Amino acid sequence: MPSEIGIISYAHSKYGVLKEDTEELIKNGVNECLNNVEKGIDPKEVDWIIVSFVDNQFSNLHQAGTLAWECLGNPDAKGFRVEAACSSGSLAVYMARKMILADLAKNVLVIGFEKMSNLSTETVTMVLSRGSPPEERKIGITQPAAYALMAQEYMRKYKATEDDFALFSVKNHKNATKNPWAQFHREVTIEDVKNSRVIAPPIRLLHCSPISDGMAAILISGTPRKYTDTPIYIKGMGMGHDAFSVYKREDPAFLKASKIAADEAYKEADINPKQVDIAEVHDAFVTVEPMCYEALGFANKGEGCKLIREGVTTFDGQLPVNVSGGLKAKGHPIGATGIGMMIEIFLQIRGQARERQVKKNVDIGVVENHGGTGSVSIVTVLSR
Amino acid sequence: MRGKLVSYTIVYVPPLPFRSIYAVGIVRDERNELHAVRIDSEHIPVLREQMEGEIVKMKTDFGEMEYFVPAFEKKEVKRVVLITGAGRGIGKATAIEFAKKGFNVIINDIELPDEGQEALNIIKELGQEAVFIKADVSKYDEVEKMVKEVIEKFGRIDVLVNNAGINIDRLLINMTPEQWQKVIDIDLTGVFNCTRAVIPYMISQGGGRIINVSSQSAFDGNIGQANYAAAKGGIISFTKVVAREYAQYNILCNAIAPGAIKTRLTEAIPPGQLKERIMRIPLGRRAEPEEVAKVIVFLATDATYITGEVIKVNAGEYL
Repeated sequence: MPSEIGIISYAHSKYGVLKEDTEELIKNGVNECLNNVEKGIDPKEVDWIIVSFVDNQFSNLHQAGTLAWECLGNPDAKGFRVEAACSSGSLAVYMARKMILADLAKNVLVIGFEKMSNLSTETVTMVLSRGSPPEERKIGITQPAAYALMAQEYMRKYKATEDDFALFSVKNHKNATKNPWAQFHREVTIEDVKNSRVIAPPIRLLHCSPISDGMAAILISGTPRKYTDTPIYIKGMGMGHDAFSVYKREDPAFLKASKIAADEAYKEADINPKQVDIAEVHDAFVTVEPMCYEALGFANKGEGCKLIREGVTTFDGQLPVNVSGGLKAKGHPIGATGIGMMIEIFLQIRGQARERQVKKNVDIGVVENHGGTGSVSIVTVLSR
Repeated sequence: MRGKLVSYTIVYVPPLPFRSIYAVGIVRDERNELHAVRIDSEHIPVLREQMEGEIVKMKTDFGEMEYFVPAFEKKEVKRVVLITGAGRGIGKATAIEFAKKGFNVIINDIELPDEGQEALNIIKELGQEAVFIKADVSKYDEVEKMVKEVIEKFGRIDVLVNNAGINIDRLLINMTPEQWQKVIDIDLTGVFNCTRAVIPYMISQGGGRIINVSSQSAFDGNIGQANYAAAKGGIISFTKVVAREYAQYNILCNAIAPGAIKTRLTEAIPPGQLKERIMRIPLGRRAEPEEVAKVIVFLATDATYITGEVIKVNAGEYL
């Protein structure tokens, strides 16, 4: 049964510029994840290892599945890699869960990482634009430019302002100050955001997630209570797609793929958006955060900014969003991101998030992790 | 095919292999179909949503792309040039040459001499707007204020000509630190100040041109000009850095190095020495300021593929 599949262990590196290379990140992640299982686990009990990273040029690696398999120490296990741009981490978990559901696996270790700091900003921008469709890439539509076109449509339709967008950066930077894993530990003001360098109008530097190295891993089990008394269950997962090109979408100011994924995940978990206590959403560019709220059903179309203006999604709000600091300030090592978001919710539900533990009681948390500019999205519902 | 611009953005951080900024947008054609298009940076200042234009396929070094070419008349956009030290000499002549090319002109100097007033009148007679702004280029706050004033009045700065300069010639052994510093402050720091102040506006408007007036003295080790030659040599190095740093924003930066020009500088040379110098010039004469001005205007207009270059305007006196 889906409700029996749970997360039993995790590993999480700091996000930022790391000295470890990809091999060390994988090795550390696998070992830490195995060692963190409360009641212990024999590597031979892990049948599959799924690796998530986005670009070979970042990580300078092929056959990451084999490398991870070697680190695991179970010759009978099998390993492979998945990729769905920024939602690769969630896709790895999605696949692991499907395999357990299909009785193809009992325990699956999922590890995501990215090593981006080795390349110049121009090269990173070029590599990231591979997440755009060929017709957009050809004319030079970068990821920030595509998100900018979406933000402009959103501003035009719903009268969102520069100040509204700045509030998301302010919130997420403030949250990150409490997260030891976060890349940035400094607060920013609305003025800082509005005066930061223009990248692709209306997107400015302080709207953008940074270039990050990092690793996150979780161990997923079909019999979680065998390994821990406090598993966090993956109650539902959904996956959706929208047109690859922003300009071909029915509504470029709406994350249709995330809405499809959220509806599927809520249905599987048998919950509605009002029951969600906390969320981590994919603020690769904070201008998209209100669209995430709307796709997840936290707000009506065009009303996402109202939640930040009214403080609903702040750390002390009724529905805290991105208490980790979000991609914006925690960092965005792409292949690790989705898994890292799940670890945040896992810790919040367990009450183990230390300084950043929200004050309210957390039973149900949601992760929205989209890829490209929202052409693919995976939503996960976690609960105790 | 005609189309309307639905939305657009400017790519200030272009990905490889692209090196300089451009705009991208979504255009709706006459058949109601949407296109993702590229837009040349030269059109950035006039872009607005719902504007009409042509959707055209163009072959580029990076393959065939669909471009949007806004349907506006070029004359709608009046280009603006700011010339420092334009009260007389090369600056004055340059101001008039730009006006002939249809530019609105800002004449900057520390005072407006009769010659400068004459230039203002000529420019107005040519049908262009001309204003004088008093500012000492060696003082950053004055420069910043001047540039803001230009933006408030004209909304843009297409060309900056860093022409302001002085000389205090004497042998190094007789040169005081104050005399050294004063020339450096005006001739070199002034170039930094003005360039620093206009660059953000040029970036946001999609490009610009900067022409720095260096000197033959930067090359030939002219006795008595340690301060002036150091400043003018510094301008050349500065020009090369600015050219590299801002090419991605479609800002082209070049320098000219004039030789013997009919200005106050050469008028001050004792007649005997001046004759001797003229005899060393292959063309056998001094240049009129207009002959230098035309090179500056060329670099600011037709020279679309030159940046970081120094053009010697000296009739072969120093090769």
